[in-house]
Amino acid sequence: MSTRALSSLPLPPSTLAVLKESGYETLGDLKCYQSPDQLTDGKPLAPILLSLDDDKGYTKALKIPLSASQSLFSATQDPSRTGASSSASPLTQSLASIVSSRKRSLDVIATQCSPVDSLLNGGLRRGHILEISGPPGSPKELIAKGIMNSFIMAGEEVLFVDCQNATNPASLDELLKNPRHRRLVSYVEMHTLPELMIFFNNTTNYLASRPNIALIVLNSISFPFLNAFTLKKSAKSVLLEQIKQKLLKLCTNRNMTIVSTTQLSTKLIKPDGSSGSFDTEGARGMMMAPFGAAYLPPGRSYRLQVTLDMGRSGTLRLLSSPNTRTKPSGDGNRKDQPRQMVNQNVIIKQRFLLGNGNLISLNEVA
Amino acid sequence: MLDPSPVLATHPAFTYAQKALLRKGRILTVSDLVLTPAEEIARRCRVALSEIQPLVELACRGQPIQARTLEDIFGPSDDEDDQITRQLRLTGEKFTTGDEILDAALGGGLQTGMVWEIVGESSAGKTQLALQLSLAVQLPRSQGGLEGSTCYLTTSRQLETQRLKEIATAHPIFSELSSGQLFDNVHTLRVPAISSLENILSTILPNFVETRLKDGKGEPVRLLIIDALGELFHLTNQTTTNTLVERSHNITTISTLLHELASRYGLAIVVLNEVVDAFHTDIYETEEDDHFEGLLYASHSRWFNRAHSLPGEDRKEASLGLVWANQVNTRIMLSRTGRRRYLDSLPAPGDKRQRINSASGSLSSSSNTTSQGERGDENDNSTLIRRLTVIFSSVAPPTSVDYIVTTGGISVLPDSEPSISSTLIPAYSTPAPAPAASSISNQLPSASSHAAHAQTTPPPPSTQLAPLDIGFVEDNESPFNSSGSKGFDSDPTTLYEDEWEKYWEMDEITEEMYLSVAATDSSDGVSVGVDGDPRSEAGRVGIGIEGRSADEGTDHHSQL
Repeated sequence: MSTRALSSLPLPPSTLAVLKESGYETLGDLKCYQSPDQLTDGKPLAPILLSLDDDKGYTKALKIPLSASQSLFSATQDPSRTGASSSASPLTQSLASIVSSRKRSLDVIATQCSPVDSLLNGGLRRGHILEISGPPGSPKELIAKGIMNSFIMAGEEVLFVDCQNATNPASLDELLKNPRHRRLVSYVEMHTLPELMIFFNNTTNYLASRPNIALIVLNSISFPFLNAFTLKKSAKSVLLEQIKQKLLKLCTNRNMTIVSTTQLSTKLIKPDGSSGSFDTEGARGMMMAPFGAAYLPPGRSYRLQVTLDMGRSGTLRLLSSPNTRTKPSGDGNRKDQPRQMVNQNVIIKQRFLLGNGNLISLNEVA
Repeated sequence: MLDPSPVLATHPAFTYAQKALLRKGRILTVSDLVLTPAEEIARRCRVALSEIQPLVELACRGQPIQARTLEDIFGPSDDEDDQITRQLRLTGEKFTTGDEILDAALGGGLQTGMVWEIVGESSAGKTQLALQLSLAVQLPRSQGGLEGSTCYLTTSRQLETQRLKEIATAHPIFSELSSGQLFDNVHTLRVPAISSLENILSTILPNFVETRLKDGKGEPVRLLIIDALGELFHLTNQTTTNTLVERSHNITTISTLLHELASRYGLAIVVLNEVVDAFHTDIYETEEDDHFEGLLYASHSRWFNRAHSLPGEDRKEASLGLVWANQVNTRIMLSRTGRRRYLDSLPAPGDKRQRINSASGSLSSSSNTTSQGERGDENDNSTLIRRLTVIFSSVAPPTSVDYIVTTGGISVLPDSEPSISSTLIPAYSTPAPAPAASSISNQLPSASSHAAHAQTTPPPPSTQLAPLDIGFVEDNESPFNSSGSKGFDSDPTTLYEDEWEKYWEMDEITEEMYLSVAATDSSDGVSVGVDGDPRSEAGRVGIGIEGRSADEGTDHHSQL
C-alpha cells in the first residue's frame, strides 16, 4: 500500500506510541486489516492477537480506542493511493451488519412525547427522517432527546451531531438512567459548513465501522448554513441537494432513522405566498425553516414545527409527511383526506403543555 | 488562533501536482474544495469532473469523524484520553452564581460550553450580575466554583473595579478570595468596535487562553463576559440597508467565534445585551394559517424576545432580533418593574446593613444601579424589587424570580411573586395592544411613527421586524443574492476569470515557496492570507499589547 508514515495521521499521541511499539510505522504495515472492526476485533493476519473488550471497545493488546481505529481505517482506505493490497472496497459492509440492519424491520418508535406520537400516528417510523423546526426557546431538543431515549432503552446506538453547542455531552448524560448506556451514545460537534459537509462525506465509512448506530440526531443543522453568509445561494442549494442524497442513502441502505432540528429565519412573504423584500407593499414578516424541505428526501421525511407561548403551552404542527403528494386539489375535502394535496396541504395541529421535561397533549385541534 | 480552514498548500495528503491543479481554479483551502460545487471546480480547473471527486474525498479523509461515546467522556478517565475527549469533558461544567435560588432557576448554576445572554435596561443589574459571576467562577470547586479566571470585555465603560471589590468584600461566599488573587483573575479589555471584537475573539483571546494553559501560571480562563454587545450595534437614522446587511453578517461571525471558543476551551460565555421598547401591534394572529408553514414574526417573536411573567414586563424586548436570538443557548431578562417592598430582614448575603436608606447610598456604591430607582418618594424605606426571567434556556425550563441588588451583589428573594403565565391560558391573547411608549420605528431609516389603530393591511416591514432581521432578509432576498452588498463582486468567476488565469500562469510558485509558507504558518499560528503581522493588527484597533502601560488605571487588575 503506501509508505505513508502513521505519524502523519490525525491520531492521538498515545495511539501512535502504541502502534510504533507494536512495530507499525506506515500505512502499509496495517494493510492486512480490511475494516476497523478487524483492527479491534481481531481476525488478524499479523501475529499480534487483538480482541474486543466489550465494554470499552478497546483492543486488549494494542490499546487503541475504537475512534482511533476508525481514523486509521479511513486513512488506509484512501482511494488515491494505488496499489492498495486490500481488494475490499471501503463501502463493503460486513455481512453481519447487513443482516442486522435488515432485521430492524419497519418499526414504529414511540417518541416518548405523546403529542408528537399522535401527530405521527403512533410514533416515528424507522428508516425515516423527522425534522423539528421552531423559534428560539421551543422544545425542539426535548423532543429529539425523547426519541433518543427510546432507542437507548432498546439497546440501540445513537450518534448525536451538535452543530451549535445547543446540547453538550453532560446534558445527554443526564438523560441516561443507567450508566452502562453511556457506550451507546456517541457525540460529535461542529460549527462550520465545511465541517458539516466533510462529516456527511465521511458518514459511510464511519458507519461501516459502527454498524449498531440506528439513530442519528442532527442538532441545529441550520446553524452552519445560516452563518456561512459568503456562500452563494446556488452553492448552498447544491450542498443541500448533496445532503438530501446522503440522507436518502442512509435511510434506504442502512435503515437509519434520522432526527434533525433546525432554527427559523426571517422572510418577507407577499400576500400571494411568494417571497418579497423590504420594499414590497403588503409583505408580512414571517419566520420559517430556512431551507424548507430542500435537504429532505420527500418520500421519507416528516416535518414538524413546534412553538411555545407564555413559556408553558404551545403548538405542534405537522407541516408535511411522506404521504403528501403534489396532486392538484379537487374540492378540498379536508376532513376526509387531509394529507393528499401538498398545494392544499392542511397542516395538522396539536396543542401541548410543557410539563416536567416533557410535552403533554392538550385538546386536539385538527 | 482558532483554526481557519486548512490551507491546501500545506496539506500533507495532496501531491504538488494536485495542489497546482486546484490552485488553477483558485481552490486554496479545504473549505473551498468541499463547499464549491464539484462541477464548478472542474470547470475552473479545466479538468473532468471525475478528477475532482477523488480530491474532495482525499480532503475529507483527512478530517475523519471524531465522535466520542459518553463512556469515553464520562467513564473512568485514562491517560489515553485525547484532546477531543478532554475538551468535551470541559463543557457542561456548572458553577454557582453565588446565589442558590438563582442557581436552581438556571438549571444548577452557570454552565460552560454555552452562550448565555443577559438582557435588560441599563440599570436593571446586568453588570452587577456579570461582576458577581466574574468572582464566582474563581471559587474553589468545593464551594461550587471552577477555580477559573474571567475575561471581561467592555464596550463603553471601564471595568467597575470598585464595585467588584465591594461585592467580594460584602458577600460571604467570596470571603476566602483574597483581593490580590481576585484581581489577578479578572482580565479586562476595551472593545470599542465590532471589528475589534472579531479580532479579539478570533486571535487575541485564544492566544491568551492557550498561553495561560501552556505556562500553567494562574487559573485557566473559564468565563468570558461581553458587556455589552448591543452597544456595538447601535443604529442611527442614517443607517442604510447595506449596513444592516453587514451587521447581520457581523452577528453571525461573532456568534460562530463565541461557540467555537465555548466548545474549544470549555468556557461559559455571558453576553450582555440591551433592550428596546417593544412595539405592540394590533395584529396578532388568532390562528395559524393552516396552509402555510410560516409563523408571523410580529406575533411570535414576543415569545422569545420578551418576558411575560408580570404585567408590564413585556414593555421591553431584547434587541438584535431573531438573527441573534438564534445564536444564544439561554436568554435571561432583568427588569426593574417598579415594585417596591418593605423588607424587614433581607435574605441578602450576610449584609446586615440592609436598612435601605438610599440617601445614604448604603445599598450600593455604584451610582448606576441605585440612582433613580432606589430613591423612593420622600424617605421611603422600601426596596426596589427587580425581576429576573429566564425567557428560554436549553438546560432549564422558563422561570422567573424576584431579586434585589445589595452591596454583596444580586440576591434572589425566596418568596418571589409567581409568574402570571403559570396559569393555563389559550395560545393567543386577544389583540389588546398596550400603548407603546415609543415605537422602535424611531430607530429605522424609513419608518414613520405608527398610530395604534386597527388595520386591515399589515404595517410596513420596517416596523414588523427588528433591524438586523431586515438586514438578514435583504441579504437573502435581494435579486443579486450574494454577499455582494459589501460593494465588491464576490463572484469573480464570471467577470475576472480570464484575469485570474493570466495571473496564475505568469506566477511560478515553486515547491520551496510552499515549504517556506508552511514554516511561517505553523510558527505564528496566523493565517497565511492575512497581510501584515499580528502586532500591526492589534495596533490598528488600539489594543497594542506591549503598548499599554502597566500603570494605566488605578487598580492592579491585569489586562490582556
